[in-house]
Amino acid sequence: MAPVSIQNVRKAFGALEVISDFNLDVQDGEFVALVGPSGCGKSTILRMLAGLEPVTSGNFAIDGKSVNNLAPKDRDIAMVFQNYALYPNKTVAANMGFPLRMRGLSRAEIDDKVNEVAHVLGLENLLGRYPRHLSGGQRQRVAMGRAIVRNPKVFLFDEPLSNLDAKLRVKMRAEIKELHQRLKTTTIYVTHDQVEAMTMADKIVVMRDGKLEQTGRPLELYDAPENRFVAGFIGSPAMNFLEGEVARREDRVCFSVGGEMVVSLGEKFAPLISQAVTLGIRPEHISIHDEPVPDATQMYLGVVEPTGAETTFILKSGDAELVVVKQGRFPFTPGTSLWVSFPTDKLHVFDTTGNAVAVNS
Amino acid sequence: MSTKPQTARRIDWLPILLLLPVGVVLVLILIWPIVQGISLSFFNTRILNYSQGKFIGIANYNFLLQDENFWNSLRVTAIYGALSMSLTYLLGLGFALLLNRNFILRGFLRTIFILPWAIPEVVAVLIFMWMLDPQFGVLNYLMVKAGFIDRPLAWLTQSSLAMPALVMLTAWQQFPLAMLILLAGLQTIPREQYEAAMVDGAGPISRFFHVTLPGLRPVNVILILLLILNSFRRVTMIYAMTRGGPARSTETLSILTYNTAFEYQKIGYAAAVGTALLIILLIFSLIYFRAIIRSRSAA
Repeated sequence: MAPVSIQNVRKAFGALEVISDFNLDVQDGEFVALVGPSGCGKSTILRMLAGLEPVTSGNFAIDGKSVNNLAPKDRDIAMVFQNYALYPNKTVAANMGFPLRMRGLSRAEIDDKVNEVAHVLGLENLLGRYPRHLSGGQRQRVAMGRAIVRNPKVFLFDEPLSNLDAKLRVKMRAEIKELHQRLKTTTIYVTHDQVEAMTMADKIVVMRDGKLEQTGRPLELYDAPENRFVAGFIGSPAMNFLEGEVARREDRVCFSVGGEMVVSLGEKFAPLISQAVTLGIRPEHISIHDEPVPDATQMYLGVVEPTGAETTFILKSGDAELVVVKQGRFPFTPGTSLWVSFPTDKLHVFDTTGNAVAVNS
Repeated sequence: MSTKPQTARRIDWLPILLLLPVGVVLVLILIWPIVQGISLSFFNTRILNYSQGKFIGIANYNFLLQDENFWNSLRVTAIYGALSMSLTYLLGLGFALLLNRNFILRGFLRTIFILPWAIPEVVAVLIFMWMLDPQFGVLNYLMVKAGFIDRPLAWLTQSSLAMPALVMLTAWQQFPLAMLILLAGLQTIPREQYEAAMVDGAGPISRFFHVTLPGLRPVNVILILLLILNSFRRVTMIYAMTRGGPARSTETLSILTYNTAFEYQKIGYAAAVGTALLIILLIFSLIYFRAIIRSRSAA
């Protein structure tokens, strides 16, 4: 267990800069998820921390000590890879015992620790098997066993669940979280799946194009995204975005999309009048009505997706499209008219550069 | 409207018809000569009066089992196979490991290293015979200069040196094959396995033994069997270099077959030696194919 500090890190492959001035502090025992679209540099950060990739400039410190010049084996980290990277010619027990063997532990010590970890992960009955005889989930668990058997200062996970099917992914997600709650080892977890990040992490770091977009607790990012990218990346289904202009119409502050769809906003948006902005609202925050109500906008229903507990609607009006999620079941059929209204305290406003605009009430 | 009742076992002739030409060709150029060869081994045919050969049953085989030359050849073949395979494999592995790294001249070197394999065997033999020549040979010159030996060695006329010379030539000529196969094998080992080993604390030597060598196992089995099979079948190179001599010290089974047939003209007996070689090759081929099937099902 140890804090991790990443300071002013830059990484370039030749002339191509993939990470620029990246800073991150991870507390002792914290579970941090690095999340972002493919190619955003999150895996590169992890690999530099592991010592598998040279650092162009900047500093990586584990437990207060710079590790830039240490070999991977001397950093006291353990890593779980996307493809598990198990040794195919070794049994499960030998795979898990390998890091201990490389550290010169005796046979008896290795057996003890391997059995202990196998018990924690429920691998006791698989110890004599070879990786090729294991399912994806079992391989993943062995890879985790190999990581925790040594009791390292930091766990690094590089998209460990992306090769598993959806059901198993949800199960392993909970297992990893539970394991972290039990071991309390500092963990850095790379994923492109924001749901994984939201459900597992204490802190999420959203990255794009080698830059840190926002850092915060999962619900902080959900409730108060600092820019349009984070707003759109965190949350599923994604936040709705409407591009248009704030204007005063018939003495009311309104938002209009291409002059067609008009949304009533309320007086607190008055400072934004005649500005081009992007309005963001999460699918579950939109209210829908089957008859006209004051301040509601008429749209027609495009698609209905019932999933049992909740129903997803896709509403259209001209070029504008909204995704709405509501708890429960509804009798609406596609093509019918519905009226939508936006609770103004749930609206996010972004300026033309994509940064969030604070609306003072 | 009535439909003809379908007979349950109607033979569909079309596929058989389409396969027939290939079948005929195969029988003519493959099966027929083999059958001829094996049946010849039951006759005392000689090359000069080929039509006068008499059926003598298994007499050739009885003689074979008591023939010192046959047992010598079997021993020579085993030694030649083991030594040339080992040296070829080691050279191939060394160069494959080198070429598996990233460096500027990699593409150029890869082409250069394949050249020995592209040179016709007879030309390679001539080059080596010049290099090994007791009077003009560069190898003797260098070894004397370096102080390894006092005076030039007669590599090809001394029975203790002919085999090492032959093994050297074989390894030099064949290592590109081993190198290419091993290089392909090395490139199938996932990079993540090396990285996992690095994180797990394995140094370069541990990584070689725990990741590289096991990763090469599927190609190793196939490559080793292929090299042994090749050494059993090899005629041109050995014949051009030593003709099996001196004093039968390099007379492998294929050379013995050739010599018996065309030097001693005992073609019936040669057929018996050839059949024995065929049986050995068949056994190795079976192991080879089983290895291929197993490595496929493992992957």
